[in-house]
Amino acid sequence: MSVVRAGADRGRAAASMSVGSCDVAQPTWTPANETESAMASALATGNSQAYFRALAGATLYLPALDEPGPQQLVTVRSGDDQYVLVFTSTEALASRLRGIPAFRTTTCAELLDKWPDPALMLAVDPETPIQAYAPIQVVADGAAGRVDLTPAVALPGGPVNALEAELDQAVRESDVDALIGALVSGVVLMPTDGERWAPAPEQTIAVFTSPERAAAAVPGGTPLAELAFLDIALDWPGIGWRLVVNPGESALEFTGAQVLGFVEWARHGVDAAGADLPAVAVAEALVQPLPVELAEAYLVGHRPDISGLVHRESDLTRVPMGGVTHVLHWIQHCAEVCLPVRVPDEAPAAWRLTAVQVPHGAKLEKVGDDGRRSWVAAYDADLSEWLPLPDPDRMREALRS
Amino acid sequence: MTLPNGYRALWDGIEYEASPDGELVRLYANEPAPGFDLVRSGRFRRLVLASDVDWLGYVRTTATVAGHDAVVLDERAGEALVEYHDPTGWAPGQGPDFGVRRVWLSAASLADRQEHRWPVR
Repeated sequence: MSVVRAGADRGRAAASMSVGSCDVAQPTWTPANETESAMASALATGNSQAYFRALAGATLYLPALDEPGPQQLVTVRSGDDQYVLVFTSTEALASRLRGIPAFRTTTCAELLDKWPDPALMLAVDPETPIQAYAPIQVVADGAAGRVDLTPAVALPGGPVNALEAELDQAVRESDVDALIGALVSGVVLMPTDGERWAPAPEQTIAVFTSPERAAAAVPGGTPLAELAFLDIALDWPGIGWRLVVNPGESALEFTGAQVLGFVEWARHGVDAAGADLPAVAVAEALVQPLPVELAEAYLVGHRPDISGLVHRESDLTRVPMGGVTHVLHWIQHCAEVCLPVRVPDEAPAAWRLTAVQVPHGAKLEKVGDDGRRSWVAAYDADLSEWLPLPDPDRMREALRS
Repeated sequence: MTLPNGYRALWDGIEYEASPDGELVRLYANEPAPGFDLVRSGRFRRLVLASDVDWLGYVRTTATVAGHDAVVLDERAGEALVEYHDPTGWAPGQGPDFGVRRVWLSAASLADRQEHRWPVR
C-alpha cells in the first residue's frame, strides 16, 4: 500500500486529501495547538518532512468507547482500506466525532509499536486541512525525509478556460476552499453511453473540465454530457463510488464520501461561490433544453415546475443541444430561486433551479431532427395544464385543403 | 389550501396563490369570491393589473427530511409532498432525474420547516 495523502499538499494524491478538508462543519478551521500549527504551516510551504516531524512528535488523541474491557482502536472503512482514527487535538476529535465520551493519548511511536495489523492505515485529523491518510510506517519515513510529496503538474498544457484556471491556481496555492468552490460551482463534461450516467469500471466516475481534456482521454465520438458539478454530487451513487476529475496525469481524485460532502459545502458556500456570478434579471426570459422524456413530463404529465440547469433565452444559440428534443421557454420573475452556476468563459451563463413554479404562458418548443423548431404547447396556470398549440404546418395544410 | 411553493400576490388585503402574466397577475382562490371566475372545479381566477397588487412574490417552504434538505411542494391532511436529493439509491444507467426524490410523507417527518418569501419586483 503506497497511499500517502497529506493535507493541502499539491498534485494528484494530495488533491483528495485537500478535498477531505472541505470542512463542512467547521468552515473556519484553525490550529488548536503548536502541533497543528506546525503541520498546517508545513503543508502551506510544501515541506513534507516538517509535516511528518510535527506528526511524529505529537500527542495523539484516540477516541475511546466508554465500555468495560480492553480498549479497542476505533477504525473506519473507506473503500478497501480500514483506517485507525487519530487526532492531534481534543478539539479536532470533538469536532469530528460527536458522542464519543472519552479519549486516550498516545504517540506515533507507541502506535507503531503496538500496531495490530500491517494492512491497517492511519487517518490523522480526517476532514481537516491538515489531514493525512497513510500507512503508519510512513510517518517515521516522512520525518526522516524519505517521503517526498512532490508537487505534481497542475494541468498539463495549462488551463484552457476559467474553471481550469481556478483549479490550476487553487492546486498550486494549496487553496482548498478555492479548489472545492471552483469545482462545485462549475460545469463539467461527463462521458456517457447515451444515458446521462455511463457505467464505469471499478466504481469510478470520470468527468472533464474541458472538451480538450476529454478528447485526450476518451475515444473520439464518445458522447459528453455537460453537467453542473453540483448536480453530479447531488446524484452521487454512494460512498463506494470514486470520482476522478480529468483522468490522467493531472487527475484529481475524490472518495465518494468527499463527493457527498461537496453538497454540504455548497450549502454553506453558495453565497461566496456565487457572489461574482450573474443573477437572473427581473422578468428575464429563460430556457431549458430538454430530452424527450423530460419534455413528456410536461406534455403528458402536466408538470408544473422546473428543475435543473437553465440559460438565458438570448443565449440559446450557444447552448449545447445534443440529445435535446424540446426547449422550455418562460419568464423568470424570481431571481432568488435561481442558483448561479460557474461556467467556462465561452459558455452561456447558467443557473440551477429546484422545483420552481412554471408561470402562466410558458411555452414548449419542439426541435426537429432537421433543426426546425415549432411551438407545441403553452402552460395554462388556470388549469395547471400544458395545452397543445396548433402546428403551423398543419394549419397551412388545412387552409390549403 | 395555498401551495407552499410558488408565486403569491397580496391584493385587497388577502394573499392569493398567483401567476405573473405580463402586465397582469392571475389570482387564484379555492372558493367563489367576488370578481373571481370558475376556471375548473374548485379553482377560481381573477385577473388584476400587476400595478394594482400590494405585493407579488415567490414563497418557498423548505424543511429537512431524514437529514436531506427538501422543498415542500404540496400539502394535504397530515402529509407533505417534498422534493429532495438522496443519492444513496442511485445506480449507473438510470435516468436524468435519478437521485431526486419526490414523495408524500407524513408532515410530522419534516424538521426545520421554514418559509422563505422573496418579492419579485
